[in-house]
Amino acid sequence: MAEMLRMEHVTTVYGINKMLIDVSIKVDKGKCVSLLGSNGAGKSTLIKAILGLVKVVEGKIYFEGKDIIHYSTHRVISLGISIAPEGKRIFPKLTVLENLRMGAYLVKEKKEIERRLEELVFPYFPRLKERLNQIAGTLSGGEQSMLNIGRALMGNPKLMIFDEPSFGLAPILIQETAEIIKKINREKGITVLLVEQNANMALEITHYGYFLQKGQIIAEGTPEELKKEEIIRKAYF
Amino acid sequence: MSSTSIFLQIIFNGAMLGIQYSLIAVGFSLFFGVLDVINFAHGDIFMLGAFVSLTLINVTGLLNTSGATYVFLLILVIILSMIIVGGLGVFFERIVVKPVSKGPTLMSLVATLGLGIAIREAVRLFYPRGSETKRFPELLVKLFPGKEAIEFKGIILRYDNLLILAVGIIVVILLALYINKTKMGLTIRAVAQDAEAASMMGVNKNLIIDVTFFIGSALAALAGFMNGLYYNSIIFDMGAMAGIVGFSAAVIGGLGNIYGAIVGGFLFAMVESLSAALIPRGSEFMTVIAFAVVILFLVFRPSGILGERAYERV
Ligand SMILES: Nc1ncnc2c1ncn2[C@@H]1O[C@H](COP(=O)(O)OP(=O)(O)OP(=O)(O)O)[C@@H](O)[C@H]1O
Ligand SMILES: [Mg+2]
Repeated sequence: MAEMLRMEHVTTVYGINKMLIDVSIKVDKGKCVSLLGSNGAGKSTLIKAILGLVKVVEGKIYFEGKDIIHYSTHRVISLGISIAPEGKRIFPKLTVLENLRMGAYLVKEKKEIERRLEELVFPYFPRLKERLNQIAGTLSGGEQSMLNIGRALMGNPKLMIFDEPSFGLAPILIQETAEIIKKINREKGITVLLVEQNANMALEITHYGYFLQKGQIIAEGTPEELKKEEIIRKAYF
Repeated sequence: MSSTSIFLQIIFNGAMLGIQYSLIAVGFSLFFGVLDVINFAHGDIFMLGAFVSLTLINVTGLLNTSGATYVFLLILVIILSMIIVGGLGVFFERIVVKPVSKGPTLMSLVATLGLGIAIREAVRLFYPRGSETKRFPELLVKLFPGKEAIEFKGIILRYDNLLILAVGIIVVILLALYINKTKMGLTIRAVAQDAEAASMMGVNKNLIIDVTFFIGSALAALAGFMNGLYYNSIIFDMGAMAGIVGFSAAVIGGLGNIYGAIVGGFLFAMVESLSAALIPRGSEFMTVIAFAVVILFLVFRPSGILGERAYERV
């Protein structure tokens, strides 16, 4: 099966502290892959390594066979990645609509931007449609999370990365987010890398998962396999 | 002079200077937005604008032409000087301002001050008789022979001043539209708010920084041209004071806020203009008084007129 993203023996550092140690993962085309682990395990660091935002001291990262380790963030993104980053990384003083437009920064055609708004964002997040001209910083926390996901949907990616998309959302919306991600993956055929604390939600929709602890991959497998792993059961179930 | 005409004259003079200060202040705010840096060489970019446009006036032989050719060349001179100085602004950004912006604030302060002095001294040393005050010609009089100025409600308006006002207002409106309505403007605002998040949308931050420095420097160049036209003289160190005034205007408006910078520029100029007119021997003190107002702002509203919280910008 064709691969989309592959990390090989990647080690990263913050200053002098190693964070990721010898991490290898693979995301095949069309799959939905999850990355699990508790607080501080290094999940977001792994995403940052892909985006060129953290120093990789060892290992290789390939996107569609291309070595991207020395790429700057915008170049990695322009290969066909879109991301809903961790935390509130929406642009607080732009309106909701302007934020969504920034998500479509690499989409050249105006029509395509309109189409994505109508087909991918508004049906899932009617609240955003109601509040298009509101300043994003004044949205509620949950609404900001929706905007974060909606903004990522505005790109035209081959691979979508979600870093804890369910964070701060009500249970019903967590379920809905999972549905959206599943739909993006199964119906639109977009490959997904999903970072989650919420293992129940993640394993429900993913084909394959990795479990990260203290910067190392300590388990990987299909959802069924992962659910059996002692260490994950202890952590989550 | 009636009191209305005095009042009008004050407003008019204030607006003349206000336009110039605003155009400088906008650069400070733009640069602070995208690079978190205060570029103290910016006043000298303004000075370069005056010298480059004077040079272009001479090189093109503008003053020996008339009619449509004259108008065409005049527009060409203005636009070319903006482009040249805009390009120089990007050049200085790349070799000095951006590299030091990543370091400690103190370092960027010293480096940009140093850059400003280097630009100033280069003009003094290498421009023909660069240490002398240069005459900057009147320009629009040529189009209206026999009449120096027009009179309006008892005040005298020079054609050149009308040009400054008209061009200034048009440029400010265009700038606002550009920042608010275009994709590039949106991207500049996004980078100013969260550069890393913008890069996660695929934005090439370095390109945006270049664009920002081009625009900011070109606007300062326009202000330099206007300043030459306003005082009919320019000198190599004219940027020192202009830089401080422009920076203060940006601070009054809320550093990083473009509209604030424009408002701040006008406010500073109006205070000067009012003090010059209303206080005995006020013209000697007008700048002191304006800076006193700046200090009051720093004390009572440190985030500026339009600034909200210190960390929010553009
Ligand atoms: N810029 C940084 N400098 C130093 N240490 C950092 C930096 N960023 C993250 N760390 C540390 O690296 C570790 C892993 O952080 P990371 O953000 O990857 O965790 P995470 O798995 O995403 O956790 P969470 O689920 O809480 O988001 C943490 O201990 C964190 O404190
Ligand atoms: Mg994280």
